[in-house]
Order: sequence, then structure tokens, then C-alpha cells
Amino acid sequence: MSGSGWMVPVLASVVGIAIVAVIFVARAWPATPDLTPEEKAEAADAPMPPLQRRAWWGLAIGAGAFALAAYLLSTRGVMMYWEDDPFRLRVLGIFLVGLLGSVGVTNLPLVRLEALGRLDERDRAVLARAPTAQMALGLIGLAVWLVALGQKFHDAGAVPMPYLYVLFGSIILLIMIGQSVGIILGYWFGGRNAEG
Amino acid sequence: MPKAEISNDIRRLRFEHDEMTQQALADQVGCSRQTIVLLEQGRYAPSLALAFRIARAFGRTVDEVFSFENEQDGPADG
Repeated sequence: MSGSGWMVPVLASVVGIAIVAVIFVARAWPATPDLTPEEKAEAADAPMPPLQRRAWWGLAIGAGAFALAAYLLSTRGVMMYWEDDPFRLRVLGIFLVGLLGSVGVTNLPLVRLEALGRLDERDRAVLARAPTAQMALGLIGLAVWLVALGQKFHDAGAVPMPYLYVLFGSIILLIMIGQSVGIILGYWFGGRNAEG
Repeated sequence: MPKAEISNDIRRLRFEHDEMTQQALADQVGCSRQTIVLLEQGRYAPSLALAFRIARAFGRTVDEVFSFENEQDGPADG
């Protein structure tokens, strides 16, 4: 597809996914009981669990790296990823910082937190449900890529190789970000019960 | 299946036990203070093990601390 006509279905799919996500969150939003001012103060005063705090850091690092890599690739072009060695190394570096940083602040300390007894059953339940968000983000990313690549390279009949590297990298990073998103949403929804 | 909720008297029992703090109860039963806050607000249903530990912390049985409410049947004794 010539020009920027391929952007229309991509944007349409992104908007469609966003609408579905908003409807899902609105339907899943827990009914918050009426709280007294004292109860509200207690809830606000309670310290954030260590896992939740680490998930926020993981999200900041992962999403920051994703946004920076996306900005560089969109301004310089995906083909430059293959043709310009310093540019490729820069993007790869950002990818690795996002990936290892996210794993380093969210996943690696779990063993220590468990050993110190700083994870309770609600933390474990939230952690166990996080892969749902990972799978959702990974699938959404793949769906967007499917539409984008199909529309952009339909006439050419083949996808240039650099796009596949960027595709794999973006999906891996999205899945890592998904863990942090899943943990944050799990705490946000209150972790309704211990059994799932 | 009708919607079911688990309510509890943790808040009242804390005050009856020398105004035990949420943190003290959390430390005693092995959970975070945030979990105790959510339990008292009825926003979290605990596992059976945590329910037993909380009941034991107050020297009560589980059904003296927690009650099961069913939208269809109304509150059950607990």
C-alpha cells in the first residue's frame, strides 16, 4: 500500500483495542464500598507493598525504554536499524536496558522478598494473575503488527527482515511490561480474594 | 451462581483487644497492613489459612470473626 494509507487500519485497530480495553476495565471495576473518612485515611496511610512499588519501577523502566526505542525507530525509519550500525547498537542497548531493568527491579528481588517474609497471600495472588496481562499485551502487540505489516507490505508481497527483529524485540518488551501492568492492576482492583 | 461476599468483625475485635493496631495484627498473622485495611473494608476475601490465623489472634473461631453473605439467601449466621 503506497504512501501513508497503511496507517489508517493500524490506527483503527489501535483505537478499537483501546475501546475494548476501556470497556473491560469499566466492567471489571470493583464496587468500592462507602468508606468513612477514617477508613479512607487508613487506606491512604497504609504503605505500598514492596511488590507493588517494584512493579511501578519495572513499568517506568520498561515503558520508558519502549517509548524511546519506538520514537527513534519511527523518526529514523526501521530500515536504518539494519543499515546504520551505531543506530542499531543504540536501539539494542535501549531494548536491553528496558528488558534487564524491568526484570532486575521486579523479578529478581522476589526470592529475597519471599525469604524475608515480605510477600503475603494477597501479593502471591496478584503475582499469580499477572500473566493474564502479559498475554493480553503480547497478543495486542502481535495484532497491531499483523495489521501494520499486512497493510504496509501487501503490494511488495514480503516483509523486510529488519521489521521482524523490531517485531520480536517489541513483543518481548511488551510481555515484560505486561507483568508490571498485571501486578499494578491486581493491586488497583484490590486483589478481590485469595483464591482467584 | 449468586454473588457471595464475606464480611468480618476484625475492626471491632481489634478495638476490643486493647485497640490493637492494624500493623500489630498484620505482623501477628503474617500479612501486610494493606491487606488488613482491605479486609476491614470488605474489599478482600482471605484464604482459609489467613482467616484461621486472624481468628486465632483474637482467640475466636472463624465463624465468630467472618460471616458469609449471599445475595439470594441474605446474611448467614457467622
